[in-house]
This record gives sequence, C-alpha cells and structure tokens, in this order.
Amino acid sequence: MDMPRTDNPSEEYVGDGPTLVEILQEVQRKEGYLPRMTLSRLSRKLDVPLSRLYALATFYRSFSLTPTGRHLISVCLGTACHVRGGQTVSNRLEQLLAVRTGDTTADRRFTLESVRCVGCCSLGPVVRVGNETFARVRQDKLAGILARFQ
Amino acid sequence: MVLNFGEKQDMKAPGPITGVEDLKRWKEEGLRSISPEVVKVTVGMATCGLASGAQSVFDALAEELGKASPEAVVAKTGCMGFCEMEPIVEVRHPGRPRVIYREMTGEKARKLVAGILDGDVNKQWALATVDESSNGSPPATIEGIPRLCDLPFYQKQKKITLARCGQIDPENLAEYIAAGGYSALWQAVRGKTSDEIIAEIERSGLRGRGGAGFPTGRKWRFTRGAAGDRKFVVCNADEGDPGAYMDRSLLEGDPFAILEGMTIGAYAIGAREGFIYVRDEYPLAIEKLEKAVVQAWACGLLGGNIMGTDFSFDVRLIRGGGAFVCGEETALIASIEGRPGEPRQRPPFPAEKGLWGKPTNINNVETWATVPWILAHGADEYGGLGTETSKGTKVFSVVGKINNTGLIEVPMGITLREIVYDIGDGIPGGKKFKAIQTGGPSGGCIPEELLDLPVDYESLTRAGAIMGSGGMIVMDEETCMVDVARYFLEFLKEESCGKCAPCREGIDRALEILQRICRGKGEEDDIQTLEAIGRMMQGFALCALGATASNPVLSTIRHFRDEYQAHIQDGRCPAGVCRELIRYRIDREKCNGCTLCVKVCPQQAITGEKKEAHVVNEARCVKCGMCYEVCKQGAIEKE
Repeated sequence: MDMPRTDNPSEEYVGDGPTLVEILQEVQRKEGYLPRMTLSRLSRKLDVPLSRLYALATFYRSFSLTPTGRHLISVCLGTACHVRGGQTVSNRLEQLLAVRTGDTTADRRFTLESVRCVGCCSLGPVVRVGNETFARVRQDKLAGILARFQ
Repeated sequence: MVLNFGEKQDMKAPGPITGVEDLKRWKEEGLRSISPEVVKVTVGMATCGLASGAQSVFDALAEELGKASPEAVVAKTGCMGFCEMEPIVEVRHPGRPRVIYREMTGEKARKLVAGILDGDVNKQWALATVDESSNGSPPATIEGIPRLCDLPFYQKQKKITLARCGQIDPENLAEYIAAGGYSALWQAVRGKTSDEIIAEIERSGLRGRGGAGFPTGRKWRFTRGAAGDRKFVVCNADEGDPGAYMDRSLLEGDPFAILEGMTIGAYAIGAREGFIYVRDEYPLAIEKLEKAVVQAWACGLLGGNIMGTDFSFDVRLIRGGGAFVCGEETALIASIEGRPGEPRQRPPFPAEKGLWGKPTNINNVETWATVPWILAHGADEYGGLGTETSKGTKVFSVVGKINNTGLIEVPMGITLREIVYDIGDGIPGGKKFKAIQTGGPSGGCIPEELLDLPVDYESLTRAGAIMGSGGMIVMDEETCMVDVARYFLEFLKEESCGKCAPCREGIDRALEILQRICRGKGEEDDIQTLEAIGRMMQGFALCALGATASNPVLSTIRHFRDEYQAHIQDGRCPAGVCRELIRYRIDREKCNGCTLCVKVCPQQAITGEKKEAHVVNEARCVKCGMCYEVCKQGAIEKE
C-alpha cells in the first residue's frame, strides 16, 4: 500500500497515495471490521497517531471496531421508507433476530444496521442484505427473506 | 447477443478522439448501437430496477432471445424516472414505434419474447409507445397504447439533465456521443476561452443544484480568480437527504455527463485535477463511474492532451465513509484530507482555500451534469426556462404517499399542486393529502393551502421549507407531523459531527422534548421552547446542518400547530401514529372472523375463533400494525 503524505494542509499533496479513509476502507473490506492490531500496525507504518485512526474509525459509519456477521442487513430508515412503515420493519427484524440495531447475532450470521436512504425511495420500505436489495418489504415476509441467507 | 462493454472488444473500437472526424465516427458507432438493424430489447437496470427484480427479467430475456433469435440485442439502461413501474422493458423493432412495458417479471418476459416472434404486442403490459419522428411526418403510434409524452407523469416534464437516462447504455461512450455528448467539451477546449465559458454559465442563471442554490458561474469566477497555480474541481456525490436519489440515477444512468461537465469546468477554472466524492452506499454508481473513467481515459477525453489539445485533466473517485455531514463542502474536504468530516469556519470559502488550502470548486452532481447541455444549446435557451430568479429545470424525486413515485425533471416555476396531482396522480388509497416535505432534514413541510406555490428557491424558503437537493416526500392523513419532526431530529442527532455546541446540544434538547410529546408527556411551554432552540441554532451553528436542523420542527409548528396541541393538551395523536397514544381495536361489526390477524400477530395478542369477532388484548399489543396491514375487511381501527 502506498503511504499518503502527511495531512498538513499547507504541504503539497502528491496525488497518488490513497487517503487515510480509503486505507481503512480497504481493511474493512478485507477483514469485515477494523482489528485493533491492524490499526496499531497501520499507525506505526503510516506515522499517524493511533488516536487519529480511532477518530476516523468511530466517526464514519462504514467502519466497525467489532467483527460483523456474515450477512449485513441494512434497513432503510430514510424519510420515504419511514413514511411507508420502515420503523415497524426494523422493529420486527430486531425481534426476529433477537438483537438491537447495530449489533451482531450470537452465531455471527447477521449484523443488523439501519441506514438513512439507499436511494430506492419509490420502493419503500427497503431492506438490503449483502448486495441484494428487497423492495416493498412487509413484516410477514421478513422471516422468508432471512431464511435465504445462511 | 447481450451487450456488455467487455464483450465489445471484438467490435472495432473507433479509436482516440483528437479530431472532428473521430467524433463523427464515434457518433455513427453510437447511433448504430442505439438503433441497430435488428430487434433490440432494453431493460432498466439502475438500483430501483434491480431492487424490483430487473435482473431476473434481463436473464429471462437474454435466455429466450438467445435461443429463439440470437441476432437480436438485449441491452441495459439506467432509470427512466417512472420508478413505480419498474422493472421496465423497452422493445424496439426497426422502423416501428418502441413499446415500453411496465412491471415486468421473468415469466412475463418469456411471453414477451414469444410475442416478439409472432407479432403479438402484448398490449396488456404496455405502458406507452415512443416514436421519434423524422422528416416532419407525425409520430407513429399503436392503437390502444398511449404515447409516452402524453402520459400525465411525463406531460409536464422537461428532460434536459435527465434526457439520456433510460435512453442509452450508461457504459457505452459511443451512445453517449451519439446522444449529443462531448460536443460541448469539443467546442470548449477547441475554441473558447475560460472567460467565455464562465460568462456563458453565468448568463444561463444556473444555480447550484445541491441545495444552497449559489450561482454556479459566480463560483467558477471566484475560483478562477483565486490566487494559486494548483486548483481542484470536486463533484459532491454524497447525496444524503433521505428520500432523494436524483444524483444516484444520474451517476448510474449517464456518468459521462458528469465527467464532461467537470472537464469543462476544470478547463474554465484552470484546474488539472478533480475528485468525485461518492457515497459509500451507492456501489452501482461507483461501478458505472469507474467504467466511464476508464473509457474516457482510453479515448483521450481524460488525462493528458484532451481531445488533442494541451489541456490535461484527471479525475479520482473517492468513496465516502458513511456520514451525512460530508455532504457539507468543508466536511467533504476534511474527509478527502483524511480527517473526520467536521465542517470549519467560512470564510475562507473553498473557492479561495479548499482542498489542502488550494482553490477548489465544489459542485453537485446535477449541476455538473447540466453544464454540457448549457454550453451545447446556449445560455439563452436554458435561461428561457424557469422563473426570473430560478432559471432552468430541476430534477426532483417524488416519493412517499403518492401514486406515481419516481424521478421527474420540470421547469422551475411549476406549482406543487401540478407535481402532486398532475404528475404524481394524487394520493393512493383515496387518502387525503396532508403535506409535502422538501429539502430533506434542512427543509420543511408545506401544507395543502400552499400547494399553488411555484417551485423556485425563494418561494419555498418563504414558506418555511427550502428547495434542497430535490427530495419531495408526500405525506397523507396517516402521517403524524410531530412524528415527522421527531424523525428528522433523530436523524440529525446521529449525523451531527458534534463540534459546535449550538447544534450538538440544541438537537439533543429539541429531540428530548419531541420524544416526550410523542409519548403524551408534552408540557405547556414546549412549543415556545422548541421555537427558542430553533432560533438559537439558526443564528449560531457552525454549518448549515446545524443552522437548518430546526427547519422541520419550526415548519411543522407553523403549519400544523393543532397537531402539536392535540399531543400536548389531549395526549392524542390524530394521525394514529405515535405508538404510546394509539390503540388498536377490532370493530365487531366489520370483523368476519377470518383469523388472518390472529395468525399474523407477533405477540399473539389477538384472540378469536373462526367466524367469530376477534379481540385485541391491549396489554400484549405492541402496536406494530401488522393486523391493520393484513385485514381485508378494514375491521382494525387505530384510535
């Protein structure tokens, strides 16, 4: 991995290195989360304080500091989905999976998160599982949707 | 034959574009691709199409046509805007009007193919026909199928920025050029000065389409005039307003338009580097952009010596980290610089000191995508549309409780009533309109009395809302306006960066009050307090997120005060939404004892034998509303 130059705005930006956020995104993609040890190693290699990486990891929603499930369920709680009953779908999922939004099931099968708008507003309520998007989701269809993901 | 870009390697590539002849060759290639001499079937494959099942439609078509008629072409396109009708399929026989089909499935697709072979048009699934007549003859139609332009959804629209979405293959550069693309860039780098280009954009009256509505030409002029030899152009594709997906559709359906717009802007401003900051949550948009960048590079439309001149420009795609606040320009800059997305004090504005302290011009996706059209058709033609202060057209997403949900492009000045009733075809289920929310979490709710307002920047602001990025969410009698205010504050609480006290503390306190009100524990002076908090935030927050955070609350108090009062004084939620204030009851007269609700209740809170009226046990009921959704007799009441 190329190292970015320092973040001091008055210095010249080289233009080729990835940004710090992009580096962390790469780790998130490969590991499924940001392991503490990887962050420490990155901190030493990039000469960036660990606290700085921690700030980025906790500020941006793409990152998780704990291992995530095999399948990520994203319930859209954007305005259009909200108006079409998105909250009830979310509550029902919490019930079915016995986790709160933001957590991972004990068997690491699912992580449940809420997102604000995936851009399919005509089709609310919308739920994404991994790369699949489900539209016009009704509460009674949820169990069937979940069963497709082992 | 399925047209994927990768599979076109064997077709002779028209080569780099350095001269007029090259453009012409690409254009001819594109026209052949858009309108081949064989049957062509196109499927809408943007995110909404895919979410509705377009992939299985595509696969079915590819399979069936591959067997029955292998020379026919199956292609993909972006979003046509009529999202309610997805998955959408278009069938084109050479020389005949194109037929557009609605709500297709894999099964219907197979029957469609049979129809293509035996001449059955399958009118029952047709939405409309399209026929671009040439040489002055009237467009051909098919009896029993309306023309697309006559459909109420399309009649009042004027497609400029969205013109190519749903009409071309977004991954096909030749089709983009055939549809008018890159002629503006050609004219710009080959024959115009930066001053001429900036003057043209200024004259057009184009205002930033991301929400703030700052005059685009003026921003370009500032950036051009700023001190510094190294400048940047940035595309803000961090579309975060819930309910808004205009930018997503543009990125997925016409990515070259953004590249062309940015290249023209860079040329005019004197920048050689550009960034496109795309939300993490838009993987398909990122994919289409990447493919477009690769092709543009290969053909001399990006990189060194663009179109054979000595102008060079390169673009980098940056994925967002998942933070709404990064749509704010200084937060976006911080994010690219590898810092948390916290806005900073302005001045200095990015035009003067932006990325790494260099002059940076940041514009929204829709703004960039409109630039080529303005230069190709002229500022006067663009300025001839719209109103005095809000020129041109605007793309809106019309969603929520509306029959014709989708993406529309209309001239500024059209009324909200026309959007809701003429284009949108009113409220489903015969329910009553209550409000239209514009501007996302920075906007406000506009009630029925103001529906005749023209849509322009100033009118919407006077009504207590804002134009915003273009999300328009229609709400009906079953929407609780206090709940809407609470919803937006919850959203903003999560998304606030936390840097300044007015926003961080103001949102928290206002949210507490609204949550109390929604639980029936409202107090006498709550409304006063909310108004005071709102004024405080408007005056003192560091960035627009905080300064506009109170708009949803203030606008709902202004237009729907009675609902607040019902919650506070009577502990009642008139719309039947706030869970602690409603209960579900079964009307014994209407209940036919079908046991549907009994089976579906997750709490087993409903009892009743077959053919006997059922009863809800309020102690167990968690107000999830499932019974209300499944009951076919309308016997479940919320009160």
